[in-house]
Amino acid sequence: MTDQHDLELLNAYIDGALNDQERAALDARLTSEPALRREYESLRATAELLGALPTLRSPRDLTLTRAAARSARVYRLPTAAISFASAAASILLILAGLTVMRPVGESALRTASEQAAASVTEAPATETLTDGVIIAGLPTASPLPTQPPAGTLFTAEATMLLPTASPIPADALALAPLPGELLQQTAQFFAGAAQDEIAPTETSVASETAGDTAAAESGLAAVAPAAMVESEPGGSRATPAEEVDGEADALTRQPPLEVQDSQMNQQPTMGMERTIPTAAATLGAPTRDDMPPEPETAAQTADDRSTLAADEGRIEVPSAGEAALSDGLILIGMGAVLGVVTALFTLWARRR
Amino acid sequence: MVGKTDDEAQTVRAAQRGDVDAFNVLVLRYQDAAFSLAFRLLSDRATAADVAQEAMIAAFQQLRGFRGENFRAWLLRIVTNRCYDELRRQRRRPTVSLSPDPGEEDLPIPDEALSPEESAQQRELQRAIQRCIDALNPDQRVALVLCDVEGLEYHDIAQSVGAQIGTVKSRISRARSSVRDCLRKFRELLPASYRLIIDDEDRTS
Repeated sequence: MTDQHDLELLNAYIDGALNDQERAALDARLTSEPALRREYESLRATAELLGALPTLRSPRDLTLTRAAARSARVYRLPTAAISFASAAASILLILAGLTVMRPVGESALRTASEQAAASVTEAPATETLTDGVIIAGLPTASPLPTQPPAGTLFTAEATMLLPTASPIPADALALAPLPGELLQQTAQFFAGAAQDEIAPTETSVASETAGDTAAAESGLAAVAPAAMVESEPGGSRATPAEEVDGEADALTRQPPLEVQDSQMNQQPTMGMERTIPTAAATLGAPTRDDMPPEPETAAQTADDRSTLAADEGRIEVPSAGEAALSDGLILIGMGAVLGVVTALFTLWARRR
Repeated sequence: MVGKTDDEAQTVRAAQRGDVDAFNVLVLRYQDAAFSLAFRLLSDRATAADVAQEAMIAAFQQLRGFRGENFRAWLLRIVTNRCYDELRRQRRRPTVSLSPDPGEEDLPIPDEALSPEESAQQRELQRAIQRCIDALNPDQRVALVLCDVEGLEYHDIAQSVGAQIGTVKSRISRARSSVRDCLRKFRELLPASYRLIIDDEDRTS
């Protein structure tokens, strides 16, 4: 019985796949080993039998009609284009999500360290640290100047791509408001909030430190919107900047309460309608379980905040961070889902 | 021969520019080869015709990627890949064949007309060989058909099926031995010369 190695040798010999040396060695064996010779003969005859199989006539013409040729050409292009556009949109969504989340995370750390330095006894600071990305305290306002323009940029690009490539509704991408409106809302809110926090700064040691922070923040609030205005391109620049500076200065000195109230009444409403992750939008909407229930009106909010600021330090602006975080997560989630759908579609199209 | 090659190269270039008529000239020239290969690998007339048709469409789509090699070999490679896909699909979703023994209507008609008696014998023998090919596993079947029926070199087969030459060598060796053993069952259909060889082998082993 011939072993597998010899069988391979014989078959390679039949197919002319041996080199000169191998062929010469096998020739010698074939003359001296009759069994190997017979094996060789039967395999060669089998190969010849298979080689004699006739070419068969196709049962029908396989020519392409013009329509078939056209659709054959057309079929490939959209598949590739759709896959590419969809993958690009998916990446942009994830990038936009990360951009929205990144400043929040940074400021969370900064806020926590500031608070720890200012007052060790302040409860919310520890809470903030354990939560990691959840933000407490007004200094969180600082990410806002950088966050919306970046978000706007990516969202605009993603929106341009999406109508052709993905079924994601455009309003889901309405991440950032118009720059001018955002500026005004944010500046007004900061000014009001800073003033609120100055109020309860007399009684205890804790509230004293809170007051210190609030005083520092009022300075921040006055500076930050101005910086934000500087970074904004376009014609809306001059007016909001003047307004912001004027208001913030006035409020830092000694603003009249009526102005605050009217601002507070106005801003949350706008924010709620738009469901936009600005400080104004999330002012009256704390989402964590351990926070007080959502106040009915903006006036109430102001009152609550005064009390709470004395008791616990800072409460309301965490929601701004949370909103940015959840928006970022939503964007990343949408990007991931779109990415998976793209991959599946591409695989399916390739299999066809 | 040179004239035909030049002519074919021109036709291919025209087809590459999107000329459907030029492409159909090539289709008519090679459609029997494409169908034959598909039938040897799939053993079903209708499926083979469908797969060969799909291969032609795929060839038209991929024609821009064709770089002046042997057009027939290139086309047969596409047919082979399509057949592989079909064999894998059949393995994933096996269908119970209503006629495991191919009926008369499934047997392709040879190109050359022989005398009725010879023709009948030939068809019987071809059917027997096809059954022995069918008994091989897909990898061995593809390798053996490309080698013995289509006359491809080991190197081209390895490229076609995306395997090492050593693997192809081994598959062909096992496949050819299996077909030879299988054909012993159809002794009375075999040509006299072949019968003598295997009888001789049987006597001495």
